[in-house]
Amino acid sequence: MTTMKTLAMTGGCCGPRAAPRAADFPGPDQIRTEHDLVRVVEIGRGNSSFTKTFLELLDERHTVYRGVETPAVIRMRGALLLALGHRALPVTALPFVLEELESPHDAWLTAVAAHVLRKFPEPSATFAEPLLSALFNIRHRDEIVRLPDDGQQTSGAVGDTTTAVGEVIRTIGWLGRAGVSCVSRLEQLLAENPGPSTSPMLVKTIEAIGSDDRTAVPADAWNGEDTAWAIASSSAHDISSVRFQDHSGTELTFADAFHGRPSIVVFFYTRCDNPTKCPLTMYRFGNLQRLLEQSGLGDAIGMAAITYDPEYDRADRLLQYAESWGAKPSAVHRILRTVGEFAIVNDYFALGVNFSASGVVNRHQLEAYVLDGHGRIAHAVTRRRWEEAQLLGLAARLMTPSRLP
Amino acid sequence: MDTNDYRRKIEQSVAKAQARHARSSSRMLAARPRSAVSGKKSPAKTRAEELGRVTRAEGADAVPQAALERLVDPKESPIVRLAAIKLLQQQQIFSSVAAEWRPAFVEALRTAVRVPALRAAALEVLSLFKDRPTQELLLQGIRQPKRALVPVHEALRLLSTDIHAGVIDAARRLMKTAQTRKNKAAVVQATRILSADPSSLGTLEEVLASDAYPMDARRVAATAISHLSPEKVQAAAESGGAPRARGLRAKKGASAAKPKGALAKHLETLRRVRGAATTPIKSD
Repeated sequence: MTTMKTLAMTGGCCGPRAAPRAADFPGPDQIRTEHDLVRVVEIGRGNSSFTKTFLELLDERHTVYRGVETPAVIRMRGALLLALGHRALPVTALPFVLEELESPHDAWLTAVAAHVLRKFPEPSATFAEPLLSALFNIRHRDEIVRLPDDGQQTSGAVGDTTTAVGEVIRTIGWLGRAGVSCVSRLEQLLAENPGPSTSPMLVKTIEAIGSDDRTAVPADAWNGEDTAWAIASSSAHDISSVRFQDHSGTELTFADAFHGRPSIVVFFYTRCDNPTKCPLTMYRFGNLQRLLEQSGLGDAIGMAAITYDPEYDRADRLLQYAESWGAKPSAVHRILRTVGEFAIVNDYFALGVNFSASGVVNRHQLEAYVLDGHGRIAHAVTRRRWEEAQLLGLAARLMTPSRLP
Repeated sequence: MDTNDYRRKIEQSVAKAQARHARSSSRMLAARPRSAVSGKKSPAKTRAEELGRVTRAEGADAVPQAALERLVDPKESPIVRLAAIKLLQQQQIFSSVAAEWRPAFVEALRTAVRVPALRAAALEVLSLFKDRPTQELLLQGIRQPKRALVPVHEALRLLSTDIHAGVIDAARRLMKTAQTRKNKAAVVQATRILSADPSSLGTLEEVLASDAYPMDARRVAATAISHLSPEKVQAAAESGGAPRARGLRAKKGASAAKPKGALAKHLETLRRVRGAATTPIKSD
């Protein structure tokens, strides 16, 4: 019945075939299950009128991710990326693709991201770092993957057999001159003798970069910051009275924590098993603390790391986790959990997170926020990896002159 | 020639002979892997031992080709294939090129899961790798026991290495079915998994409070409660609570009983440990 309906809408199998338009199908807000999503992907892959729908479905807050387990999230996101990169990858999809490369965890999804990046019309030097991150982080979790168009991940699925590392190296080679900044790291890896199949791939890639006689593509051929850095509008909600508990067990309100000085806020949870996400966030939180101390801004800029998983992440666990990654929580640089409803904080920051049926985080983006002295969101750095100096700069700009050192 | 010179000469010639011997034996071992290990004339046990020697001779800087080949060969004896799994598992730790051959190893293990004699060993490694297709197979087996690769308690144990695999939800469902209550091993595993789930505190209290549950499950529940909500251990130790109806009172005579014996001792230990550990921290 479903097939008949689809065929009718697309002009049938024999008559003149009109391209399906996204407007003729249920909108992203009506897609509730993986099954619905796969159907839309099948119909709209490679069709630019579906780009907006696919991008909306990549938002972690979408209901399609609510109550499902991480493997389903991976399958859906992979299917969406493959659909977006079926012909030419649109620029609006780049943050999602680069995010998967920068914070790789699943071999198949990483392979998909590397594969579809080659469908972007122009190689750009800004792709080099995310690709290197993918190469060095997925190496020890790699597996044989198949990349069929329908986004299925089962081991018996048809499709080209490859590995995540193979796809990533191939994409670095595709960069040509734009990948010149990768060469030293690739040579370093080659010197470590990574193995009989990886070594020839690396040699070939280094040669491809060296022999590319195109004029070097400037680093800003695609300006990643356009989409990576967003200035969020302040939420209309007043959450001053929302209650938190910090790493020492002290209870405080949002106003206690964030009013009176600009603050940098990051999100994490201790059960995150992606080393390039929460553990790295907490490590960088510690770096940021040291940077603040060195700049003489130790107490002038507040800092907080808030857990997505407040029920599990009790105060003692938060303290232990932060210290294990080199952070030194204090009365100004706190590790927080909400006491009561997390949903209010989730809505205020419009967090890119969703939860499985058991309440465990099934997917989250990297996100850091800079709040002004009234706790209003002044800047949001989402999806892409944030840099300590950039956050510090944004927060320092919000300081009143009297507080500057 | 004085004695020292003589001793030095002897030592040098012994060292040379040893080096020659080592070179020739490693050459021999490296040269004969395919024939000595894959030739089916020798007994499987002998070939499994030979495979071990060959893999060691290949060294930590080479891909353990012989072991990978034996593992993927469907006609090979399960004894040799099992030895290959163990060897490759070791080599994953020691091999400098482990990342290179990991994909082939994972693929071979996924195939090995279909062979009953290799299943347990293959599942063990794949679970530690948090292999998604394997997790899906295990979950499917819990949902449809007729298609299960391993018993429910085993599937739960294997899945418990990854909280993102849907195991908490599976454990919650199992604890709600009267059928599972009869399976003591599954109840213990499900309780262990729910110990990482703050929203299952009620279920854990119920397990702790009712002597209808296996003693091991009650001890696990007590430890879990002491982590999730330390103050509740105190209450449990004093009152024992009351079992609530949630379809879990299948066993006749299930009662609310003040913990005694081993469980009482366990609770007391937990109370002491948590008391010391949580002094500086205020709890909700």
